[in-house]
Amino acid sequence: MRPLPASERVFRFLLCLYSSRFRHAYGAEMEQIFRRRLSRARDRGTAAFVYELAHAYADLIASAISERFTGPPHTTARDSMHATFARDLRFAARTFLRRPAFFATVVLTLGLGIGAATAIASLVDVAILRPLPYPNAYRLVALGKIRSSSGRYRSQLPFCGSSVTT
Amino acid sequence: MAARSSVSPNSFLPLTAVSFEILLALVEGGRHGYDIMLEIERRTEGRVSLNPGTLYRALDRLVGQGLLDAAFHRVGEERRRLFSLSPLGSAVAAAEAERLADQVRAARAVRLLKRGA
Repeated sequence: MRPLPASERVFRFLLCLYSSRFRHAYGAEMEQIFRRRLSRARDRGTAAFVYELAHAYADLIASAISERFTGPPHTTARDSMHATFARDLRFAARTFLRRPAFFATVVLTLGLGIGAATAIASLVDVAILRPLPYPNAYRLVALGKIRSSSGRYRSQLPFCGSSVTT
Repeated sequence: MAARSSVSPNSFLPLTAVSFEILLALVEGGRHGYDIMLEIERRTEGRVSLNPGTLYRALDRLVGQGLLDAAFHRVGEERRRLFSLSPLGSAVAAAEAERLADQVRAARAVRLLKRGA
């Protein structure tokens, strides 16, 4: 038994994006067609082969997303919200696949933005919002001494807003 | 299926370009997935070439909508699925062709298309 070429292994892997119903019904036939199309493209040269490969993978991903989100077809659900959402999602996936540099920029920007927002939110939560890990933390006071202009020390209870001169 | 027989072909219109190409490829008789792809390429002189993802997604949808019938048969060692038009599928294909013809007539009326084009 000959080992499976890398192109077919990737195709088989991408087939997993479909629901198991769809994969079991059509997976083997889709693989056959993919193999035949690749063989035709190989005869036309390396550039055609690479183009065919990239196009087949992108098409597989886009249609798998569509299949996952619309599920089994319905007779009357063509204009349902679900179908519209799936169409938008498919359109977005195709746009991204056609413009990988734009896609990478969007992902990077979103990643940095979400990461920074999460870090700041965590910091604010720990330093300001979350109560101190002691019972009756609200009764905690800080004592200190401040030298006044007259040279006397003043004990201060900052949390109570009062001070005692000594 | 009883419910489907009462469905109006017009409720499926307009068809997507891919769906109509598939229905057209099956008007003369049942075909396998690869044959459908080749027939569409032949008829459009290579302008439309369906990848397996798009082709089988559309076939699955058309079967689910009751426009196509799918049956297995054996070719040598292989078990292949043969797709064919259902009566509803034929009616929908005809209705879509009529709709497109109306649009072409309208384009001719405003001289967007030359007569005979």
